[in-house]
Amino acid sequence: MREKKKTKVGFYSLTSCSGDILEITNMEEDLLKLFEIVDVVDLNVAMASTGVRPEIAFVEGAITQPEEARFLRKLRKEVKYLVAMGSCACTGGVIARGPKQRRAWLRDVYPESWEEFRSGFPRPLRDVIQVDLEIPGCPIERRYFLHCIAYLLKGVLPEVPNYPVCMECKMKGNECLLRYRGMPCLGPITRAGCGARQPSRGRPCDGCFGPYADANLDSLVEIFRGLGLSEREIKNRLDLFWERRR
Amino acid sequence: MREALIARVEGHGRIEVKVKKGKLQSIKLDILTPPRLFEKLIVGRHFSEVPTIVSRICSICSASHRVVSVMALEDALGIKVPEEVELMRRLLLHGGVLESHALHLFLLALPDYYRKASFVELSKDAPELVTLGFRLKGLGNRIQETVGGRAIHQITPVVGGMSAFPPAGELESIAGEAEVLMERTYLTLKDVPSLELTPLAQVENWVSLSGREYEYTGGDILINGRERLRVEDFSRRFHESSLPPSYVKHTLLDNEKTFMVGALARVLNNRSKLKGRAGSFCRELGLTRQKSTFMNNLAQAVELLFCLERVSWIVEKLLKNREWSEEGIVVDFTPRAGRGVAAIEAPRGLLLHRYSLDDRGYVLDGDIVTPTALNLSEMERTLRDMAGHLLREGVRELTPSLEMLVRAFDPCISCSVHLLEV
Ligand code: SF4
Ligand code: SF4
Repeated sequence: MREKKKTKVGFYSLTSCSGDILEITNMEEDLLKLFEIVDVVDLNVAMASTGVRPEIAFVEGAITQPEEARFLRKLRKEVKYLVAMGSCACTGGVIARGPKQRRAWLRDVYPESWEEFRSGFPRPLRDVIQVDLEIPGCPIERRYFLHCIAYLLKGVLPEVPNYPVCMECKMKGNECLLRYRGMPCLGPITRAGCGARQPSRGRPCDGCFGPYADANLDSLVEIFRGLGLSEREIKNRLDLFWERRR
Repeated sequence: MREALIARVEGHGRIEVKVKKGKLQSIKLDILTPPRLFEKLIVGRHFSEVPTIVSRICSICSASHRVVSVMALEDALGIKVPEEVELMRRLLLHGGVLESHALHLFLLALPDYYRKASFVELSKDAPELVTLGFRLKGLGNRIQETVGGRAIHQITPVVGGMSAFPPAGELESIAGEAEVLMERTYLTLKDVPSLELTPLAQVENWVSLSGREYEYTGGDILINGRERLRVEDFSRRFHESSLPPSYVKHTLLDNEKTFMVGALARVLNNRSKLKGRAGSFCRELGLTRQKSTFMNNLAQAVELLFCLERVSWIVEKLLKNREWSEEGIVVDFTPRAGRGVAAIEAPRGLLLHRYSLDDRGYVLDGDIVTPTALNLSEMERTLRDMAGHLLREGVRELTPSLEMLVRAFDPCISCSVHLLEV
């Protein structure tokens, strides 16, 4: 039998901390296996670009520059699947804050050169192009990435877990931080997938996976008020990763 | 005019070289990773949220950013943490250095030494080298995951302590893996061939922290092995400016001197404190005699050995005096107004965070100085020297050598080279 042609896969980085692609390199030796299964045409952190068009593109980071939007539009036309990786690509992420203050901030930080910058407010990929799949997280979880790529290689879009972090937390047998320690945990409204990393380590969930489908934000806000949180505290809690969702 | 991409570094950037009739006209390094304005994003946020936000500056250095921000905030709030918290944070930082150095040295830099295009090519000829790189990187990540809660954007270091401690059994197994890798790493790295370019990029000034021991936290700033400067006095000698269209600020020492930070600077400043295998390997390599930028790669090799030795030592110390519990330790404190500063040695060099807080613990302003920004002017200087030299020797194809030089700094940006021939 003739060897099947390998699918061409590219990894691309927009305005980001590079954490989602780094998380993929954290597969360690299994990364070499990925290179065997698919034909990696672009992965700048590890190799020079081959210049070959990918069939599946994984993109991390938010859009802040006109070139980035242009690059994405072109990429969209070339690929079969375009996947947004990580909360920056899915929502704008932790950096998508202060839309009104942005010009003033630029001026303060770069007094000599701010006028030459063409840097806009961080936007998620779906503001500019159609996205086939969003892999949430800050950063994504490498195991879930593998799950997704396995599906895509078969030509099927995977489903994302549609239940809250609380489910994972309870399955681990954690003592609930919200209920027993009065900590403002976003687990009840946040999509599962991280294995309740923060609540399992004494820290309330910050919500980096974004909301699951039936999330009831209002009732959690009521609970936070009941805990004595001020409106400012509640707003700050939610806008670490959530603001752009509302 | 020609264009080529520098791969195998982090982020976006560009070197622009102008050559006229075989003579170097100008050389410029632009960092094009767009501004994300972290210093502004944290203004008005509660101190407890700051570490979560600033760790997102860089994924590879996330442990360093998280820990140094926590330390600077503790300085502002007048908090002292117990020894086991400090040790646990140090263990985490060693994990970060292992992962970052192993990734850079084995997967990004060593392919140059063997004239290969990437680690994938290298793995065909020298699989044991690449496997070892992944195993060291894996250990670094395992430490960050076990101690910090996640390999990237760690969870447990919080203002006042650590929100959770790892299981004792996990720590023992980490120490075991570190011991196993020790000998293997030494035997593999001692045979790495040398780079011809080595004599072409001499380091003139170097800056790092320096304390009683070889460490990534604590101590003063030391310049060229001679001059000491307290961390809080950093801005008396170091000044920055941003030049368009680069989004990173250039920093000069005493308004005129460029300098290097990173593994090589640390080794040059603190070599007498390197003990054991790391110490003897450092002498064998003679890297303090050669003082070449390219030796930064081998300084990372020395630090890999140092970290492996240190990890076992810290684990032993942690487990000795304690009835082990996975409960975290967070000391009691009340928010107050104040200013705080802290510096640590991130894998790529000196990293400094400064914050001021209002009386309820909200951030008034913040300042973050990163190693790649500190190295920028020195990168340009050595690029200029080397490009000039190569042109005088009649070398036409500058790109590969210049790429290698930028890579030796282990910058946190991906760079594309634009060679302009007029
Ligand atoms: S989603 Fe998180 S990990 Fe990914 S690029 Fe953004 S900040 Fe980095
Ligand atoms: S700690 Fe948070 S995630 Fe866990 S059960 Fe409670 S509210 Fe849900």
